[in-house]
Amino acid sequence: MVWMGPLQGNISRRAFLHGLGIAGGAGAVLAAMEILDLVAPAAEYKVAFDPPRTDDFSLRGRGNDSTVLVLGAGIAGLTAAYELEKAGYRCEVVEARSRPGGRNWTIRAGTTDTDLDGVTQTARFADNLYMNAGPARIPQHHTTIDYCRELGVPIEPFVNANASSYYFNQPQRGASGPLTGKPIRHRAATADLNGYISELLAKAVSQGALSDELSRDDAEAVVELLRALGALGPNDRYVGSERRGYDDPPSAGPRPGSVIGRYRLSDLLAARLGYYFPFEVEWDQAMMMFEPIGGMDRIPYALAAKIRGRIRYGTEVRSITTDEGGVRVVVADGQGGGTEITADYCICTIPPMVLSKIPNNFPATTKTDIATLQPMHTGKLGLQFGRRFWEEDEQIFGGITDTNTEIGTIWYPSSGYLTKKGILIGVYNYFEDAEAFDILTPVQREARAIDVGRAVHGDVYRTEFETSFSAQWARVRHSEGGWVIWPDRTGPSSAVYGRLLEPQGRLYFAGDHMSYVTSWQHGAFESARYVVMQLHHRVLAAAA
Amino acid sequence: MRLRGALAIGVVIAAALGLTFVLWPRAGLSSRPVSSVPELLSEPAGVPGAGLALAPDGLGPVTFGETEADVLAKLNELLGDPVEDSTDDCGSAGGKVRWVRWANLTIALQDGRFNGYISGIYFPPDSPEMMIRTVDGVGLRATVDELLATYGDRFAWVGQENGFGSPVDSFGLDGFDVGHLTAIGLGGYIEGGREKGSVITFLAGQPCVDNG
Repeated sequence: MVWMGPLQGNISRRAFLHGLGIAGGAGAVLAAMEILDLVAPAAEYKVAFDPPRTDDFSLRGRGNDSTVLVLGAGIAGLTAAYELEKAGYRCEVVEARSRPGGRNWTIRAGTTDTDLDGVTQTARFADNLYMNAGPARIPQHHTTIDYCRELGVPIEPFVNANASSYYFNQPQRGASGPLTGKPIRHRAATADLNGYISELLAKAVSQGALSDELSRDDAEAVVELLRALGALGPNDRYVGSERRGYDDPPSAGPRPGSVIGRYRLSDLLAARLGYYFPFEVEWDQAMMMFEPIGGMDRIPYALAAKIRGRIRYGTEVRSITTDEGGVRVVVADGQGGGTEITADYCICTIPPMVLSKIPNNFPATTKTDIATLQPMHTGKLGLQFGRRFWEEDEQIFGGITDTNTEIGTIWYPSSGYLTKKGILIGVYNYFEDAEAFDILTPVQREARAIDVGRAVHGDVYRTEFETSFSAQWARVRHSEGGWVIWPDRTGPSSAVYGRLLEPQGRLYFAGDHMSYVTSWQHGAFESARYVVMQLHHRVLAAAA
Repeated sequence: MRLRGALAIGVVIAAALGLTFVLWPRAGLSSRPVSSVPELLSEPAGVPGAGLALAPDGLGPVTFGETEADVLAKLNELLGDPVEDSTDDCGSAGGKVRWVRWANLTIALQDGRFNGYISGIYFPPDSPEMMIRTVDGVGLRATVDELLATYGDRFAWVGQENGFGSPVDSFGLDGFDVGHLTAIGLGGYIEGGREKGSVITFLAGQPCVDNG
């Protein structure tokens, strides 16, 4: 608590707040609470991480000869090996794929993949173009940024919100009315809804409808704020504003510009466009956001290059045996051979959907816990176009078009501006929409994506289309899901999560699923760090 | 001059050693070839669906009428330790029924025998929900349409209950009456109406038969 001057000891905190509330309204109470440290001021937080060091062992008069086998060369696995090697652990990484990164997967010309249905795709994208099939954006407060800095991976802004991109709702899934079936610019919908809602609230406040909630001073301040938020006109009415865009943009000579007429409130509500608005201020979605220059997989490749221990690619884990003495893992090399690797400890980052089918000696409860985590059905499809019509014709430079259709969203690239060709993410869907896409062939998915895209952008979506690549994550080998869904669909349930945080003998589970930041690389980094410290403290305790 | 030369040689050696340390691959972990490589499982381990099935006469590997000890031994092996084990009065003659629960599956043991089970979505969320399905592949949360598509004429509505906070419809397969539990069979409850509802409970057997 901060010093309170003469109030200290003379008046109770509650009485002080109460008095302020009467005198100054809610704002004063909140401000006072911040002063009193009762409400944390807005701040960005990082989880402190003090990585293991070789000094930790030398202080105990011995070296570190512990071995750690890491299962999976995704972000969590590579990070665990990278951090442990800083303290002299001898690590080895086993990876089923022929590349690092796991779901951090950048598709470029020549990328070939065979899915669980045996369908093989080969990307035919133009040189220097790529799509990030997995993670594609990094919030500025995520640990991922710190690793980009440490590993020397250059980043560039990722445009996650753009007032010029569209909302596109078909007359389905609760949406209806004249604003469905046509693209509506973000800026127009946002300006109009903010305007109408501000007008309504300003009327309510001015007419005293909220006099029990607001002091007279606060009421005046609220109305003043609403005029600014909603761009209200005379008599606090919303009559449209330049925020929503122009029919004829301001220019030179006799062209002052003419603002596009506003949409009707009831049409905006019927089209259900406002539900998209909160996205841009969500904790993990608000700008600024970033992406590595050249593709998201720059991060795992940089991590892999730093690891001194062996990384066995193309090597599938076929059995895991863990006990108090160590860990034994049998792997298949893909050539018909097998190897048993032994280590003092193991960090297992294999996705639960895959791990649940690997023979192991985990207790029955653990097996059930693992099998409880279900795959998130999600997919992305990249569409290469011969001309960046979204920039040239529609002035959309990055950002996302939201739809209520089976394709989910359309993402415009945040790099390569003003060049000739470009790749859009033409599908990013979830849940039932993604499940429906899972059972389609890549060619069928491409056709669906182009159909919806034509409705948004016109026939240019078909005429300029060149090639595509589809990744439906539940059908991607060695992943079998975009991320995990916990039983209640909301997040880690305490009982299962708590049990899986505990080591199985000398084996630890790590990955984004072992964090409260499921689906983000940040979760994988944080989980790896958490497990590294658990393991390190255990080794240090044994060495003491 | 000689000193500077020695110093230079020392620096070169140190640099070479440092470079070797950085670039030289470290020794791998202990490993040995094995003659056989285990195959991956076709079904996830730990999912009771892999070993258990909701059947009219039991749960697949365990059937009604088996001894309490045998049933518990098999289920403990498959599911681990139960999360709940309690005994209730049952019936007017002072009988007892022992309820043993793993997540969303409870079995009933009476007179030392396995005689019923209940699998539902509203058990306490203290452990992961299991995904046991009927032998025909239908699980909890299946829709009425899915039930009808699978069972056709074998499916029948039995009645409606109001004791769950909101009305639920009961159903039975092959003539099973969940309201009376007088015969071996499989049935359950559906929440959300008879058109768009979904299964919240499967039950079978004769848990808590009134011995009076």
